Amino acid sequence: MFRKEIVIPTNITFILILVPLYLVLTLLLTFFIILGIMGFRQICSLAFIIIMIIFTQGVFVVIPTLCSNPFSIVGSMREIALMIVNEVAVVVSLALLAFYVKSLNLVDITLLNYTPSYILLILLIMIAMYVLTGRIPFDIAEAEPELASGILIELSGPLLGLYIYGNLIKRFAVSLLTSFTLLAPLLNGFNTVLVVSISLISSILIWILHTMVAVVLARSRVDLAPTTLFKIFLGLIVVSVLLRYCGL
Amino acid sequence: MKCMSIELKREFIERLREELPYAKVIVLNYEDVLVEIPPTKLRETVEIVQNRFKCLLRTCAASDEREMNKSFAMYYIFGNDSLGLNIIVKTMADSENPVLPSISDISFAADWCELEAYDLMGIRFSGRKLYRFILPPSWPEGLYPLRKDVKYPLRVKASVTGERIGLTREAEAQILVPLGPYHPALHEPEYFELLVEGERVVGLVYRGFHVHRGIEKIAEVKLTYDQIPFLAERICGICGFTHSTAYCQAVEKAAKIDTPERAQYIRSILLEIERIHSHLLWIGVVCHILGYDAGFMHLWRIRERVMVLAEKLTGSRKMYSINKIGGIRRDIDRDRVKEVQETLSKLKKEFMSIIDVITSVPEIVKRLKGTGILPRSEALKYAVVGPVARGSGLKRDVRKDYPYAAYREVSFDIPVYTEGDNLARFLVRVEEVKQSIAIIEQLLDKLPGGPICISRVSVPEGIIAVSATEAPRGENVHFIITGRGRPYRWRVRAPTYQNIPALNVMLKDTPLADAPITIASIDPCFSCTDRIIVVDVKTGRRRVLVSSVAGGVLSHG
Repeated sequence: MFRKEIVIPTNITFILILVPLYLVLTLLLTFFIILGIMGFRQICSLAFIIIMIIFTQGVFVVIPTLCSNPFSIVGSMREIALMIVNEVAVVVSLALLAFYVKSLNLVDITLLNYTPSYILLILLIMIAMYVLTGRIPFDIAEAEPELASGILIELSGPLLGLYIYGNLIKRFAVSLLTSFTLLAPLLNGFNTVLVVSISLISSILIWILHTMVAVVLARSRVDLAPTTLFKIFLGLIVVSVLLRYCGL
Repeated sequence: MKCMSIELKREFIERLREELPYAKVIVLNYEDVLVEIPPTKLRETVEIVQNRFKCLLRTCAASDEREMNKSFAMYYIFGNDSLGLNIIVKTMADSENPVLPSISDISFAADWCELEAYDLMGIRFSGRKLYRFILPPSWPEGLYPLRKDVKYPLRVKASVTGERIGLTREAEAQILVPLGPYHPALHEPEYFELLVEGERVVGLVYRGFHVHRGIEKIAEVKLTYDQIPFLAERICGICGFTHSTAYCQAVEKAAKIDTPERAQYIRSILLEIERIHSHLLWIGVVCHILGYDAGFMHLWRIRERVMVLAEKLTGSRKMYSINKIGGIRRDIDRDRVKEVQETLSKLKKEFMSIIDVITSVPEIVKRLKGTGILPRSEALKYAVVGPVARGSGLKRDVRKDYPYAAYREVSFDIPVYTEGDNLARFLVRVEEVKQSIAIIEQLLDKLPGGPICISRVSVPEGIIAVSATEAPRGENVHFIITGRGRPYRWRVRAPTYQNIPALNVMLKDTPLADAPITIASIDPCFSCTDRIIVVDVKTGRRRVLVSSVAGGVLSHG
């Protein structure tokens, strides 16, 4: 793809900035998650990761919205509909994480135990992060049968290459965050190198798990996915908070 | 039972004679009745046949009969499913100024065949809008390829032009979404233009016939009776055998040929094998469209067993090419019978376990249930056929209604669902796979001995016959008027031709995401429906012509 010519969709020259920016943002997100796991407390707080995720997703959805192609527009609108629910869940789940551990530092969640409230929170994070990866059943923004790749349709050559690499890096970042959240209570007391190594290796397992989930499920629809997710997220958040309130 | 059916048919024909005193009613054979009427009585006759005699329009065919009786003829083939009787209403149109009253407002199923008769035969229909339907815009005015005075091969100057389809946006919020002519969800070139508001489809236009091949013309001027089964088989890449069977049966009926019993059985076995592989393919495609590629791969994996089986039985995975007038050209030996039984037994188990997994995927059921609904009343109005009809509560199946080949000798159920949605059509096909396996098992158990083909065939001229088969996609009709050495007129009506117009009902006001699955739910076969493309026989080069006029608007009125 990188050997092909650059084709800019009609009247959107600044796509040349947005697509590389998306790649840079996903790289930064991954970098900051790793730094967070390593315990760089000053610059890599949970709040910072939340902001990075919001920015990354914002740029991700802005790119296709600017294209005049109907498939692209319909795809981006679907992504926005999904984001409205999922981004809130991501923010709330990471905020709850900070609240439970009473710290904004990512590495501090190793201090938590597998309490019922934390297990529900892990479940919430796992689902929200999975949705972020844009895999089936949540790949509605680029649903091939009706949208012929939707949000990707106007991109080709190096631009498409950068965009796809951005997506792959984002998937890795969320897998890493998921794996660390999942294993954090087990990693308490380990040295930094070991914590990072275990998180990186287990993130590969999470990636494989995501792939397996995508294989056994079918594509959802824009009116089904957000409502179903909303109900699941709301249920998990409420029950988790209640359990925490009860000291569990 | 058979005597009762004959008695009922007699009563029916007597009633027909009483209700249509102006018509000449001729009994052609045990299944076809010809009703000749003047053009002025056409609409009245159609209303009577349709409403009082509960017949559905199967298709219509225009014929250039100027050589025989100095006029054009239009044949409207109605079917009474409960009696298994075809009512062929024939009316004549003037040779100089062929105009007939349109019946498309009475019978929706006549819409396309009237346009086809206008395009290819030059018969005009009063009281309706006529437009280029099949031929490209650059085709010369007044040149009607199916007329007998138009020689074959004929080369006309063609040009490639842009196309403007009929839809216009009424509001800012509406978006025109093209689906085709080349699109991941469509495996053949067809064009649907969807007008979308938010995520809902509020209007649509269909433009087809991108790959018309002129099959009817070739058969009428170039090939012989015995060569045409090969051509008929190539109408479709999935269900070709059903076409060659329907053609052979039509000629056999016209020539009053008694096909050997063993040949009838083998034809039925292969027709069911064709249905199984077609349905497995379709269910796999549904899984793919819904993003469940694991199901798609497993279904196509087990389908491969059926393809190998077909190859062992016929020498070919798909183009079986064993049909001929008066029988078949390849027998099945005992070893093969055992192999078929073993393969089907394995297939049945695997199929059921895969279907159990597929139907346990929540998204599959959610996206099929309640989507693409075709109510029973609309299904009747459009006279839809096959799993589309059976999914909307219509118990229509040619194998039961107009029994042919060896279907009289086996017992099987016709799965019918009343919901009319995509899930209903899905379940109909799942059930049909099971039924087809059971049918083949019964046929193999009863397979009689004897010859597989009669030695001498003689086809008299000027005989009309209609034959239908139940293709995987539904009723497949072949109408024939015999000629010297080849058919004088051969008309093919594939099931998709009958089902596509009903998409207008199924797609309106549904989510855009459901459009591909709803289109796929009729299991469209566009190569069956299209029958002409411009091919330079010397160079083999194909030219695809693009129309500049509005195409076949699905909506009526």
